[in-house]
Amino acid sequence: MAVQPTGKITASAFDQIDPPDAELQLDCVHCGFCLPTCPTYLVLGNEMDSPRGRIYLIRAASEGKIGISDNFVRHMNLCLLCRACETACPSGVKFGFLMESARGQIERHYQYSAADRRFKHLILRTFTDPRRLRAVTGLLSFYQRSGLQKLVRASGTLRLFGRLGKMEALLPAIPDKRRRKDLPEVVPAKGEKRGRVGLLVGCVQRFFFADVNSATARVLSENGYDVVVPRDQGCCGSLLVHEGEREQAKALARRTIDVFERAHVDLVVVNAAGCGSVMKEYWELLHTEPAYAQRAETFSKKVRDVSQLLAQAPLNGRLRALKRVVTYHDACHLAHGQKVRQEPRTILKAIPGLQFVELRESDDCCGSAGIYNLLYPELARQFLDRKIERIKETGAEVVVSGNPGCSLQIEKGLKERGLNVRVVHPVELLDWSYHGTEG
Amino acid sequence: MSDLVGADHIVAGPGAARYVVDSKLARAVVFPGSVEEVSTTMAFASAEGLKVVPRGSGTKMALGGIPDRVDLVVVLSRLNGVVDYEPADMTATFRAGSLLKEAQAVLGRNGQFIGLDPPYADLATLGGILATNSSGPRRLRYGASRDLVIAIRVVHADGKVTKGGAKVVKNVTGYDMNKLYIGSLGTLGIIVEATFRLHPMPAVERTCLASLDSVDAARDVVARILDSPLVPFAVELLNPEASRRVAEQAGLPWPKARCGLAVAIGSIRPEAVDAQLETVRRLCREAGAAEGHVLDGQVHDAFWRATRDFALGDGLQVVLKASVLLTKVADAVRVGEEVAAKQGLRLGVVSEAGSGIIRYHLTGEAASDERFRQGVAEAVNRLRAFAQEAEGNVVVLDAPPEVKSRVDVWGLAEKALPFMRRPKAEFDPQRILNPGRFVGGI
Amino acid sequence: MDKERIARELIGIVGSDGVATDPGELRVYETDGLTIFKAMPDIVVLPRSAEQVAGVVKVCHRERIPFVARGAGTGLSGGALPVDGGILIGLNRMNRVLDIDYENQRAVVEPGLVNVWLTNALAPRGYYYSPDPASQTACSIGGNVAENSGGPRTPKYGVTTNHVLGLEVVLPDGDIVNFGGRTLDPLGYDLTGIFVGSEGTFGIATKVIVRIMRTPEAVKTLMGVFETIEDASNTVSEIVGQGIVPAAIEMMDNNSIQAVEKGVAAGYPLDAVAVLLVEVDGPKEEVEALVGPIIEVCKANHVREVRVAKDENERLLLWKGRKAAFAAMGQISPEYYVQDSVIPRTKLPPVMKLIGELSQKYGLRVANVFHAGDGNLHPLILYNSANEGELRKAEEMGAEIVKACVEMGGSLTGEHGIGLEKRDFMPLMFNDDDLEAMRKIKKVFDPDGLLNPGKIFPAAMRGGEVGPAGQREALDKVLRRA
Repeated sequence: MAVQPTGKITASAFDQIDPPDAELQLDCVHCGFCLPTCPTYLVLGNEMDSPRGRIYLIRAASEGKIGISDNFVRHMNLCLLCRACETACPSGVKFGFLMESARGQIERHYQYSAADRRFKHLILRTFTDPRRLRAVTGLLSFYQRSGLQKLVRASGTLRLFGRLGKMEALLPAIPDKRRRKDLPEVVPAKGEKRGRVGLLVGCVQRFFFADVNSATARVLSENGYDVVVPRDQGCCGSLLVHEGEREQAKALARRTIDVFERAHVDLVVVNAAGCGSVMKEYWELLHTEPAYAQRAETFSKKVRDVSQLLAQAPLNGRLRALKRVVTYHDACHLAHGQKVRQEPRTILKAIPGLQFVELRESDDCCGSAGIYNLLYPELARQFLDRKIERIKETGAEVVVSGNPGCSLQIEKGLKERGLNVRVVHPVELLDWSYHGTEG
Repeated sequence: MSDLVGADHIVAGPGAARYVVDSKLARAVVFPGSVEEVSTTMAFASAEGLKVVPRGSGTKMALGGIPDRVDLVVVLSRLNGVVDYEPADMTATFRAGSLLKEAQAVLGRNGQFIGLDPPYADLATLGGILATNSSGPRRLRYGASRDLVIAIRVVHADGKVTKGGAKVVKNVTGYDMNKLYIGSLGTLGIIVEATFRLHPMPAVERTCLASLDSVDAARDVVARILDSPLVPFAVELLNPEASRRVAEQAGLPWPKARCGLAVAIGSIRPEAVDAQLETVRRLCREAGAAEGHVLDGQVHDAFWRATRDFALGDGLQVVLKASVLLTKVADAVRVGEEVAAKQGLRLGVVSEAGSGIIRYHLTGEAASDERFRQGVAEAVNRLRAFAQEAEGNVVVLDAPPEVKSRVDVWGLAEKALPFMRRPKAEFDPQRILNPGRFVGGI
Repeated sequence: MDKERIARELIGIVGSDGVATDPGELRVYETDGLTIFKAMPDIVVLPRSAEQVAGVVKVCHRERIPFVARGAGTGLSGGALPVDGGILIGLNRMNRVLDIDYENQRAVVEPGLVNVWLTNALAPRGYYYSPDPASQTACSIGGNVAENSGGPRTPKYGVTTNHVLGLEVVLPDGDIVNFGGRTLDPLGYDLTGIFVGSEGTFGIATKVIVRIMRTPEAVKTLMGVFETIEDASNTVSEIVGQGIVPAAIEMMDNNSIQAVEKGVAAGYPLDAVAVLLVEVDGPKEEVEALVGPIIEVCKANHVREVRVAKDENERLLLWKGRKAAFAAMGQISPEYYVQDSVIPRTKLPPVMKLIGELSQKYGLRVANVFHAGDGNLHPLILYNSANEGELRKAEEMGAEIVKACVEMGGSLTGEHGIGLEKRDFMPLMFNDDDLEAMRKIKKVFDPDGLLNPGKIFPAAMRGGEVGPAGQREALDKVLRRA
């Protein structure tokens, strides 16, 4: 008979460099509440690609019952890390931490094919290094403006580039370099001063959505904050944590902490959900590093999404009417990762004239998920299609999102369907309202 | 035989004539007084290969096909009374031969009741009601036997006594055997005891009774009531003939040639009843029905008794029961009237519009003549075709053998039969119990 | 069995993305909502239609391979575990609402549909599907059919069997048959009725026809905070004794409150000994009329605080707490073993006292969260299997509770099912003849015994084979003591 007692713990498939925490694994009571909230489970319909299943596999690997096989890696990597399961979990399982640690183990112990590894690293190196991204976006801007893009797209050359070709389709309009002015190091507060905050300008945000950063600085200044933009800041490491490249991520985290400590700010403000989420969890990433564990905890407590700061008190200054129908997409790393749901809505609802329509399934992942849409375009496509359908239902002219990854993804989806809907960050709308013009 | 139940409790010969089944006279009629006596009787019958027809008060003996053979009639009327009853648990166990009326009287002392109100509710035994799955207007609120029985005791063809369910209101231990025996017409075993979940008797019950020009006029009101948040315990639609008779028996004035629509509301609070009745009256008014008037107290009870026990008269009649989709109830009544008119039959229709159950009572000038039999057969076929279109069925509840021999009393589709035979083959391979009376001659 | 050959054939039926054979992957299917038991399937198949299910079943039938169906895997009696190995058929890809017919108050759904999705689909038109197991955000309607699931709303509205009117079923020989339908009183034996609650041992439901109901006009939920379990229990009896039929009466003790508050912050006072949730629904006037008397009963029974949820958000939060209670146990314990016994409602005070004593005796904490309205207990025995012998102790204590409940005139299980977990307890309630009658009906559906073997019937009935070791021992110990 096949009924077995619980297996004895044998040698783990994981090494001892921050493996998935055994205590956190035990928090899961296997109730299954997470299943219907998991995008990959809903599409793939097997339990290996559900949060409960993934935890079970992680646990089996921890206990040495299974190894880091192709199938194990596939199920781990297919996870979007959207963390919708954390919202659903009454036992408070920290799924994100478990998955991030598991991916760290995979990075060390699994042999990807050479092509897979190169592709992933190319993306990661580009998106997590502002200098490289600056160079690439400069080229891309030229590529788009010179008419080369039209030519290349028409020629079908992109198909030859395989996955890189798919990346191309995701490109938003890159702001012209001349418009893409870097922010001054300090933007002083207007009126009564409320505090001094540091601003993380991010990688993707800085080059693809530079307007969001300048809008953030202006709006915070309008609301009484000195905004410090440290020149020497770099990537926060969020994509690397997502992809299991923990050691590089830790280096970036340490640097980010150093930079903002030197800036002597009360709070660190982030306008990209993915970055904010990871920075709020630096304490976990660095908890094994004696020199940083305490500092990381202090730092994480200072991190705020920009919407949190703006929603905590009535907005200063005069807001002009914006007669627009607007809906809001909950970025996973805001809603599930940071539990920030009401604040962006509060801000939007403060704008006069704006008609707010709730999006159905607003906190379902759009499929962007870090670089997921580049690694698993077919699956990401299904999540995006559903999101676009829901947006269409609202009849909104503007979709608001607090995460640049989501914005890129949703813009792509809208563009492909020829829908004339803009995607903006909540602070951009506020900024327009303050200035009475649309950016 | 007399060793089994005692000589005083066996009748044979002319005395057994009262107990004929579809004109078939049994070799003996036995009246067991305990579960053990039922058991030994069955063991004996099984050993001797005797065919057994179980019986309660006999109110539904005309249901089903004509039996292949009747050797023993086992009458359960002596097996009556409460087995256990804990009012605070709202459950009660009765022996199967108990009259529903007596059971309700016991429970009524604590303001409780079994939510069943089948036809002939004053005469029928609990066992008979369960075996035939007999139900009435209150079903809309309280469900049918399958929803109210929580435990059951059964004597099998070989005399073995088994139980199913448990005497608690919620239970999934083992298979839900109660469902198997309810409505199986005693073909798998004889129900000897049943435990019911009870309901509190509403302190106030009132009914809005409206008269309408036609069945079609009722369609819209019924749909709107069912699509509203109202919680009636019964919604009954009566054709003009039934309306007239029921009104007469309940002592109500009734305009000629009008359909009746009765909507009954109960609650522990009178204000809750009246508020709902007001909504019902508004809906009736809006549908152009004559102003519904409210029945209360004795008139209310009399009306529902007359509806529940509806009959066209004391003479010979045929009763059919149809089950159809809710949206087809009004049509089912109309089709009934058409076919009755065509066949020259008198028709009273009482329908539970919220449940999709319709009772057609047919009678003719000379109930036993060939034209009547032919007419009934036509009516059954026509109504069955309609009901099947409406995803339901038509069963002959009551008819003399001469009529039953002309029609299929059940009308179960051929393709469903092979599987239906399987439980019978497992539980009563010798076909001791009620052979020939159930669907497909089971 | 020749796993490779069978897998190839199955791939031919459902496609390659619907068959899993890697033991490393299949491990996720070795257990369900009750993690005490584990049993691995050899192959997992994920069909998308009744025809595919039938195709897979025909292979099993031809090859004499045992098979079992699984929904969302939220079951609490090990009902979906392939104890003899073989093929596990996951139905979660068949998760559509096929038809909603408001006028006839019926819906037709696929078995993998998540319970609450149906109500979500009906809500805009003011309708809902009543059976609401606490796991309704995750569990499937097919699983509900198998277990005859209940939920908080059963005192007034009944359990799954009262709401299922018809089924399309793949029989264990691969035939597709229909039982019941959209209308009441189908002809012949009530095959729908006997199928519901058969715990996946009769066939695989591939379509379910359910009753849908009009959403009540008004709903009020009250939370009563009590200093003793006895006061709370008496309140339950007296509310019912007044002729009030609440939609739900639920009780939680302090351990449950602690877990729930950590998990979902439902607003229960952390220092309460017991919290009672009472919900009444129906026409506005009726609901309003009932609130006063219920508060009076609470007061007469020394309620410390009684609160009526002031709006829909607060009401839903109170319920979210209750429904998340099991799932939140991870907040206070790594593992739990839940019993599901039912007792006549009047036995509530003595049985609660007994559970308290047993908790002392075994040195294991118990969180009680249960359907007080119908006497359906859910003592969650908290344990940590990493501690030597603790699981055994939990099982032994569970067995004592079950035995006591049956002796008080109750039942082994109210809604979780017998499954693998309680099969050896069956003789506590049923004698050999009773079980033989059940065996006969099993044979009607599954003469070859291929479908979900090893469930419901005591292990002894399978020719002396023993059940799961720990449970078997625990039970023997408790029963011998009797």
